[in-house]
Amino acid sequence: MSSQDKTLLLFLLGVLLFASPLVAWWSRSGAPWYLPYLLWGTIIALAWVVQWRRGRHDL
Amino acid sequence: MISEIGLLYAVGVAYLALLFFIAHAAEKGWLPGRLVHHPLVYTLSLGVYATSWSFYGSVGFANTEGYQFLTIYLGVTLAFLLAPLLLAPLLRLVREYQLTSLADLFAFRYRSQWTGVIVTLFMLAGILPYIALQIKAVTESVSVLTRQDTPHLLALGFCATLMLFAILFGARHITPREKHEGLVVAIAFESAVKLLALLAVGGFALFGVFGGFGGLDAWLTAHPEALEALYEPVREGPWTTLMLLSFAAAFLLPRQFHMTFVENINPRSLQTATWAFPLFLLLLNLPIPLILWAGQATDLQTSPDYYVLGLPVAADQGWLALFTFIGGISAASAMMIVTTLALAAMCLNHLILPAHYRQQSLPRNNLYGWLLWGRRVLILLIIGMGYGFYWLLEFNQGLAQIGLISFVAVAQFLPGILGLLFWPRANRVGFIAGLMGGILVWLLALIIPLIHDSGLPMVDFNLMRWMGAEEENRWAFSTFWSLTLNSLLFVAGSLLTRPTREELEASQSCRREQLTPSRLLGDGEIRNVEQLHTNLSQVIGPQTAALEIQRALGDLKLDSREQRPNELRKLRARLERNLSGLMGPLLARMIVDNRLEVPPQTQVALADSLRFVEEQLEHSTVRLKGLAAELDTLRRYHRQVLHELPLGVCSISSGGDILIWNNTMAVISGISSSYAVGQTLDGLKDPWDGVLRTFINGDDRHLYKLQLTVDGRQRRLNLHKAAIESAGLGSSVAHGLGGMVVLVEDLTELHNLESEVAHNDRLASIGRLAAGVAHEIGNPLTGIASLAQNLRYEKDPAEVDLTSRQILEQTRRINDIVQSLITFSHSGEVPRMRPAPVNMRACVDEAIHLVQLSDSGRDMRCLNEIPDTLIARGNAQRLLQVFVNLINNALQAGRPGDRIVIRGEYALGSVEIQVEDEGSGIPESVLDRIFEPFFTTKPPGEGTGLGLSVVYSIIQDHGGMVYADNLPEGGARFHIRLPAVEEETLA
Repeated sequence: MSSQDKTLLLFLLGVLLFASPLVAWWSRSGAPWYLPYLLWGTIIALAWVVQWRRGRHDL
Repeated sequence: MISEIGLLYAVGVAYLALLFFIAHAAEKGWLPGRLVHHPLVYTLSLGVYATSWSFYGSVGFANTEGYQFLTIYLGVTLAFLLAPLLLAPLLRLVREYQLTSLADLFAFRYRSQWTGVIVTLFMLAGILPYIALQIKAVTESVSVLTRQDTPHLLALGFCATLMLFAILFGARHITPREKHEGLVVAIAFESAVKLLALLAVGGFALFGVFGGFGGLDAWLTAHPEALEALYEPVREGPWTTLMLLSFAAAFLLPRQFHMTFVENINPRSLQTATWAFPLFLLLLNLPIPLILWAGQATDLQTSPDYYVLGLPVAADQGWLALFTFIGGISAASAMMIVTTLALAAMCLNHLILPAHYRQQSLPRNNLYGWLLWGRRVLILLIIGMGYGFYWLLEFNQGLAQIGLISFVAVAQFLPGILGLLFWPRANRVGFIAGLMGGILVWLLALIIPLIHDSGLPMVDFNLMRWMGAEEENRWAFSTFWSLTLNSLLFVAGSLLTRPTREELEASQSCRREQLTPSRLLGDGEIRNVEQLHTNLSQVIGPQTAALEIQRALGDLKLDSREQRPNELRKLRARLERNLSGLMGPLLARMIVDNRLEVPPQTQVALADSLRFVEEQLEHSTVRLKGLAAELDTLRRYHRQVLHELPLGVCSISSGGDILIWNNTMAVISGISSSYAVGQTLDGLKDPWDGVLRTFINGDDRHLYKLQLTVDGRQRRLNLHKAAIESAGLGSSVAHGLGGMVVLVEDLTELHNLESEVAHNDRLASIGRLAAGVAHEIGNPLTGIASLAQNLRYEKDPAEVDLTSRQILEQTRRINDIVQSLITFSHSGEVPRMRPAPVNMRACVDEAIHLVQLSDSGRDMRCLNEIPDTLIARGNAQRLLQVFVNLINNALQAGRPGDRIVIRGEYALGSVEIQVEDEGSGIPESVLDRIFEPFFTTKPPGEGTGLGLSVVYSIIQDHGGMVYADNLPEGGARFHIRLPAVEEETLA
């Protein structure tokens, strides 16, 4: 899978988590206060992995 | 409690002085380059995104809208996740075409002065409330600290200090190529300060107010409504709308565009920013709920918008409050400085300069100074207007609300930017129509109510009320309707009208699909750098023109004597880009077009096209996939084959430009490929210009054994040419292709080898002749000796006379033999053939005479049946060797006493000579190999295999031909054809 494909997949994952009906699921009553930050942090970590693997010559 | 406004002002000024020092240190190189250029510094500088709204307003926003405040940063995260597909192409465009703002970018793509003007005015209108918001935040933060009203003077002082900073560190260089490193480092420092301040307040809330995580959990358990108040709006509010707004704001807000693209020092830093900038935003927002709950837990009396400051103040944490105050100043000042710089660049390029250009009132002297001062005055004006806005409007809305008005404004550029990157059909009509539609909705839905609610005289009109949508969320309403109308008009306008040629060209540049270079100089236009300078001076003054040309020459590593058309074309394109950095893309185009005119019918130089396509393909390797990648590999293979071919290859377009000049050609000619490609034939050094032109224009498709002196060395070359039929090429790039391909064979080494072979052959022949020569000279010598002896005793004068004549006769015989030998031995040393009429009968006679001197030739029966009138054009000495070799060959093929017949005649304007023997003939299998060097049918040690190859070589040199066949009755026959000299000519 090319780095651009990974970038796109990651973006779609971000959209799924933060701009889809899934938002209603993770924001349900009883969710811990830090849950949005946890999801956000996960996306950032994945972005770091993709960037780290992309190497230095792609941008 | 800090009650002294003066003290706070002093702290603020001291902090800004520290910023001055940091920026100055970076500019002066006092800070290590590794630090200044570090990707994390770039990432932190993007933190200019977080303004007072984020620093103070997030808590207030969270209080009313719960976790929806996170959308303002999650949208940015999504935009940065897409950096390789969305931001990197924009960064490339901005750097490559030296664009200084979003207005430049749109004007570059949509090619209209109106595009730049509308974008600039709309951006000004959209962002001024945002600047006012920063001033409001700073003054209100002072109020929170001092618990008294802040005098307007403080706001004015704050604005004045920022003006000074922006002028000193943001408007130092006029060209975008010289980055404001000081500014970048200072903004990064400000981001670090505001992050640390928020984290410190968050830490205080967690540990100072709640006593740690346990305390926080206990409080949340006791107050479940506090957590629910954060989550509930997420499920019910305009979450997706806000995400979309912040997605657009991430790179379309003037300050974001400026720091992400214009001030980007190293493009690779953007890779790091894809994860590091979202991480910065996450850390910045982590303390927000804690501060909100701490404020609620301690029942703070301040507005939630200022809980960040109110919390340490209420807890009497003086130092923490002061640090937080500095964090707030950081957030506000960074935003104001960078936004002002970006807006000043837009106003200068799209409002001020075009007006001056139209009135032809651009200064002729010191344009740079004029531009720099223009930008400085604009900085003063913009901050001044921001202050005026703050002063005029009674903001009775929260910080986030005012910020969101600006976000909806910049979101109107989203359709335009998507069209710019992905839709070639998008054009200025669609863009302007869409933008105007979006602006209209924005004004009616957001601005008019804002002004009305602020107490200023304004009609009480609300679009939401008018459309019966009062119950809807106003952000969702305004964003949806403005973007929908914008997009519909954009698409409709673009589909109903056709993009101009310039727009199509720009769209290709934007999508990196440009396969022909644009804007090239036509033939018959600018001929040298001096002319370029003269023309350019008429607009921008001689001094600026000289500096710009010098800079462009330096960029391209050319010198001022440059006259090559291709290089001048490139220089012109480079000048346009550099001027674009100074004055915006449209004005640069106007100046270059008007002063360095290109006739409309001018075609792009083919050489440039080919090179451009090659460069494009080199750069887009990573993007080629499937069949395209296979084709690219094939292209590279063919190119490599062409370049490594051991034959010189050069191809010349129909316009006379050199397109291909391979490695061997470079070795043969002594002209490097990089120099030759793109040149016209005139640009090549002597003798190649003349040789190639004569050959290309001549009728002959082949030119053999051409002698040239290249770099003081004699070379012998064969030239071949073929026309390239453009019909067979097909593609649009190949339009106008055609021209000529020339192959150059270097025969110098072969010729040297042949000369050596011929020399050896002669030496061998002389050796064979030696015995016969001795015998032939011996006989007359004996006769001379006898006659001389008789002469001593002879008294009769008549007898003496007779004897002496006989001696002279014998001497002449010896002399003839010696002369023949000398002639023969020198026959290969004629450096340059000088053709002259040669009597073939006499030549063959002499050859027979020479051969008869040898042992084997003594019994030869050689019949010379060539008529005395047969005259060929050639070199007598070299033709002599031809016949000696052929007669020797015939002798060796036959038996002693066999007859050799030599015949000749004129045939078809040539001299035809046949040498026939009665030997065994030549085996059919070797007939076509007998002229190869060292080929022999004799046993090893008996023949050198050189004789016939020398014959072939000499006849070729004469422009004739030689071949052999077998006689039906046995024996071989050699046919020689030589250029004839007709009898009439001789007469």
